[in-house]
Amino acid sequence: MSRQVATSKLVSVLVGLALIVVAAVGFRLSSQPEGFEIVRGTLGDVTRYNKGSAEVTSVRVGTELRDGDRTVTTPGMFVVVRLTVTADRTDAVKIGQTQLLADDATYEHFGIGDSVAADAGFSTSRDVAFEVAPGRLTDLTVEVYDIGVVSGYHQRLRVHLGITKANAAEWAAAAQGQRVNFDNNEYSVGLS
Amino acid sequence: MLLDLRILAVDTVRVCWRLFPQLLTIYLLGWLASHLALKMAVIVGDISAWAALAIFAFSFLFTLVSIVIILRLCGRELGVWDLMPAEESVADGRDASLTRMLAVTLLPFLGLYAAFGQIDEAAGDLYTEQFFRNSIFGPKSVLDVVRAMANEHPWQLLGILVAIYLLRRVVDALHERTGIRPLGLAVALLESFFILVVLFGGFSLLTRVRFWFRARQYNAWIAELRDGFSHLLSLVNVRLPAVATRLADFVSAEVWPVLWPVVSEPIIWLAVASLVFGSQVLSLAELWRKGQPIANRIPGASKFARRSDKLALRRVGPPPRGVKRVGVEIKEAFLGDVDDKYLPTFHSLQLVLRAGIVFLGAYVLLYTAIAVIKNSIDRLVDFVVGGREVAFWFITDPFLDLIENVPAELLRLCLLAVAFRRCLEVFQLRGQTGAAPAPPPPVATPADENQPVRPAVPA
Repeated sequence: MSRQVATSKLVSVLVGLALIVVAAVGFRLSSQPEGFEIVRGTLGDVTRYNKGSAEVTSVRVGTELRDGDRTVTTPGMFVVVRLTVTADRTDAVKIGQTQLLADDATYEHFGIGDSVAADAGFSTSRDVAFEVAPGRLTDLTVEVYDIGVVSGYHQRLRVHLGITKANAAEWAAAAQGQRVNFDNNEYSVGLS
Repeated sequence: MLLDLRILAVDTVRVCWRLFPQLLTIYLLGWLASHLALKMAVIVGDISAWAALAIFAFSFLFTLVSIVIILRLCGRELGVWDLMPAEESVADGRDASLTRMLAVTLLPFLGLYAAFGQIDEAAGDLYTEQFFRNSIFGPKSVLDVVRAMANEHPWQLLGILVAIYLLRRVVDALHERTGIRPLGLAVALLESFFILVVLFGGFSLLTRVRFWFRARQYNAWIAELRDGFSHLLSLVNVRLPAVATRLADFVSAEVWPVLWPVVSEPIIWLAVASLVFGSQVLSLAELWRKGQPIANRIPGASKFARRSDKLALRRVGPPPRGVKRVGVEIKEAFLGDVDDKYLPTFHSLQLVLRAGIVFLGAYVLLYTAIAVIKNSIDRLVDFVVGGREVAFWFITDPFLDLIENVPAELLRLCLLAVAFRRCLEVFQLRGQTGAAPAPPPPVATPADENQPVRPAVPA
């Protein structure tokens, strides 16, 4: 009899624990993973972003970065892209943060300045540079977004630069000894 | 084994469905009042940060009032009070008075909110609202003012805390003697204000004190002792420190982050809910288990009795006079809360934990299922609305929060009431199989709308 009671108690404990484990797993799976929406764009194509549009063009790689009369070299590799934001509606559009995502690394922008802003009716462009490791280039993707002091569920535009596992070594080799011209200024044009 | 799961799930949905119009109205009123208090606090914050904090305290008070009313509505629908013998009704007045109910539940409620991040979230909302109203160049936010005082004038803040606490005790005593209702509300407000000041500024003070202690010489002695002990263990080839460190790492990194929200939150909420139902639940459980102890019939003898009643029961001879009386009053000012508010919460927690692992597992699973529903609605709203700039969220957030919270919060509160009733039924069942006869379970038919949702305790 007492053995039956002990078995029953053991089963109760196991059932109770199993229910708690199921709850814990369910809770973990349902938790919000990221506080942003990922918008995919294509290199060279205009993509709707926030209340306007954005575009990533002109991918250049090298080991020397030339900004006016200053030249910087790296033991790794520089990747420079041109960002363009267009405010074709009634509100301004801004990119506040830019980073480069690789398969196994995240690179912050190189030097000062990575923000681009366009007032309503304008289109603004600028170069953004990244210093990357030649061995970690697979799936390099530019990610741009804008969060200030406070933020909500926001958009992040991601544009794949076309560097894959298959051609990463070729990109790294192509960068060796190359000088990349970098323009740190923003250029705006009025929309017609 | 899964009977508890079925009972909890079915009754939660049923009671929510039956009371939906009333529950929704009360919830919306609480939400509206709470948001208005927040907006008012932001406006008043331009003039005085302390006045803004006092108004901000109303925001929590309104939320608690709506929760208390919803829980009591559900409790009535479920016939919770029918499961308690009439002679065991609470003598501290919380059943009859909302202000007394708030006084008993506010402290654990705010503690619960603080522990699970809701107060931080509300403080973040206040900060954001102030930021949008005044920009980064506007007057200091409420939080900045309180924290600055904690860092720059810690003694002033300590003085303010003691003054608020004493003021609350005085108003509390006045309320008890006169029974004037607005005084009860003032007590609840003062308590809410006190806790917010503690949370926003008091913890900065504690950090300073902790750093001060860490910089003392005796810490170096303790570290030396610890190193010596570790060295001793390494000599006897016991790798306890490594094992202990690994175990501690595993618990802190893997087990605790899952267990804390998934297990602790529902259980502590149920304990706080049991305070709302105002029963001497633990003594009731003892009553069913052991027969009818005479202690339950004497004011001040039960664990849930007010401290003043307990002291009156313990005291032999006339009350103290003169200096001794002052000493007793000062002691009471600081210890009274422990007996009146912390201990009932602790006893409620004990009660909930005694209900059995299967019941707790079922309850935790359903509580978490409701959290999963909320998360899913959250995701759905994000998916439908999409990523937006912060100005959009600033305007729409309160309303979108409502969409996310209404179904989950109403279900959650109904579950709390259903789980509490199930707790009582579990104790009643144990009592029936034990020594004492239990009060008869309520009986209802589907046609009888005024009776509890589920007819009887299944065997």
